[in-house]
Amino acid sequence: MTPHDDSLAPPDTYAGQVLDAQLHLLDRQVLDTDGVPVSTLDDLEITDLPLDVSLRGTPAPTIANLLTGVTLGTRIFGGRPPSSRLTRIPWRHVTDIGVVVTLGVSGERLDATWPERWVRDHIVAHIPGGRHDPE
Amino acid sequence: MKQLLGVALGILTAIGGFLDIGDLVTSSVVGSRFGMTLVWVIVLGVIGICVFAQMSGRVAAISGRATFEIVRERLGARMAVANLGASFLINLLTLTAEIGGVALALQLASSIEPTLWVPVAAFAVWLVIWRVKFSIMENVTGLLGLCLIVFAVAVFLLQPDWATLTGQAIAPSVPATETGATYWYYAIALFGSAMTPYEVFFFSSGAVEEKWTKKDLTQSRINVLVGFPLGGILSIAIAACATIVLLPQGIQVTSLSQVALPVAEAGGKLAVAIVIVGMIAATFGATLETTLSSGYTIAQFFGWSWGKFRRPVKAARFHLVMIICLLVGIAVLATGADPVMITEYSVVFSAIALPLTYLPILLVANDKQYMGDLVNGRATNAVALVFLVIILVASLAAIPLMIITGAGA
Amino acid sequence: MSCIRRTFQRRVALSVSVGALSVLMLAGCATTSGGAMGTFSRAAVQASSALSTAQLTFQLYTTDRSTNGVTDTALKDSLKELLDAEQQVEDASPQTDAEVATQAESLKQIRAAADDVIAAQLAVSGTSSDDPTQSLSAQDAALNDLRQQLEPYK
Repeated sequence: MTPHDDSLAPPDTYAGQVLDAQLHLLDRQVLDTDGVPVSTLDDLEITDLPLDVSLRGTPAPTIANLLTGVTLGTRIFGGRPPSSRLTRIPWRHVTDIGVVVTLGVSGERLDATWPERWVRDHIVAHIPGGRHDPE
Repeated sequence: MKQLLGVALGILTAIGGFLDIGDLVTSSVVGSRFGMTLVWVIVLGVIGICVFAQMSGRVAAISGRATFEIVRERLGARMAVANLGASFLINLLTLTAEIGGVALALQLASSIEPTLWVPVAAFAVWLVIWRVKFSIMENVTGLLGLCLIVFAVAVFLLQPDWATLTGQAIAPSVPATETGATYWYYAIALFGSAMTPYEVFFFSSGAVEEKWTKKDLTQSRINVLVGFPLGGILSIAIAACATIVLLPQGIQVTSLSQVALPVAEAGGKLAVAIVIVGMIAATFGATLETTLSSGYTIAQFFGWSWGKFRRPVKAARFHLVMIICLLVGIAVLATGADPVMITEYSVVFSAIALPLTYLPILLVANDKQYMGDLVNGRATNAVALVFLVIILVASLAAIPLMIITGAGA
Repeated sequence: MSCIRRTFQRRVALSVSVGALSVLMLAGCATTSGGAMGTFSRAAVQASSALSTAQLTFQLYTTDRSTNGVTDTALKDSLKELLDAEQQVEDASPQTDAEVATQAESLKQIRAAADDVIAAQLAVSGTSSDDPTQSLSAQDAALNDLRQQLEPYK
């Protein structure tokens, strides 16, 4: 039931594992492949079910994307942002789910980290010493 | 030998880093008004912070998760955002009080108005956070903070009537000049000053900063279990100094300068000079810790990259949050608000906010997914539960008592 | 459904903020309890504490036990406290003749105390060669009397 972060089992054994989205996914820290924090897992986007069709025989919806950004506000205060405003991290990037959710890619190129890059490039990098290690 | 030095350094910095403007002011106010009758609260608070800090340090070392990441994971987004709001604002209040404390201590050294020192102090704090390594920052302020041992020396030099002092401490009663409500209000304030929540944000995030593992747990346990009680003794010494010198003359402490007077009486100019260095170091160190805590809480809630072990460009939003918080602190103090007053409110609000961080840590310390085999033992849980009750009672009683007493007037 | 929930949340938010406001107002009210005499009594405690501080500070200075920085700051803080106490007594609105008399007496004593602290500041800065020790302790005794006299109204 409970996945440990040290044991990344081969994919086919996942067939029997059950993850509770609320308990094991939502509000967990997302790290990139180098262990750098990317964001928190603010919400999940699951694939749509077809409209006006009997549900019998239709495949179960799957997780398409991890969501972050504005979606946190709507999760707390209610409402739903338009699909175009969502910040997505594709589910296929996820390589491990333990105490944290780990991605197999670098966070640097993801949409989710653009505010970090903006603050870095427009403010922090301009202050002397910002690019150096502390001494 | 090197290991022994490491242990000694850890203990010394834990003692020196234990006190901040909240302890300096609250202990002195309490000593000048209630004598030693509230010392039991300091003892209780020190035991509490030992249990709490040790637990959060262990959680951070084993799971690699700092306090606010855990708060969010355990409480969910909605509860966590309320928790973040309260914890962050109270931390900001404490941060403001600490900068004001540095400015007041610098005024004692220089006679220059504290309002002029505030921006200087805040800039120095930022510079240290921006450029200085975590361990150096901790060690320097912690060791200089040891100068506050002068308070303990002063108690002996004042040659007090030990029987009266210990009698008040062991069999406490409300002094005739005070009401029961103010007594309990200051009991909560003193409890809040010993168990400030920022120490826990800072302690657990610091464990991640310094990359603690299972191996470092013994060292951290010694630091906490030896250093904090010794720090608590300094806090008691401050109260004793005020009890011996100020209480008989009817002086109620309302400023930091009064805190230094018993030391002058006991040890003369040299003691005063040492105590001022200690005050500057303690408040400066606490400003660093609260400023970092403001960055830690926000960054951990939103899952941003954080930490002093990274270059500022690698944790840009974390550093931006801290710069903004320091600017807010400067702005509040520029209105001429009295730092001592801000301190008195900050310790009481700290007591109110304690359950918000205490409960999630306690839950996670018992969670096998995070802790593996190192979950809380039975003894720890028993003590932790007793403190949970105390913390809840203090938290709930604080606001009614604040109303009844007019904030301890 | 979500609309109902939102109104509920708003109502909760509103009651929380109203609650917080009333706490602050009540805390403010509590310090003004006891009428004018209560105010005078508290001001006497504050002034007496401030003048005792000044007296101790000056004594430590003359016996060369305290530094200039601490002396300057402590005297300045004492003066600030005295002026604050004076302000509170001025702002009170006495209703009876007895209260008017107490107000006048309190103001007289607090102002005399402030003068003594200023005299101490002048002595410390070397501007004046008068020794304020005597008047500081005399005024301290006077304020102490006033404080004890007003004790029952606290």
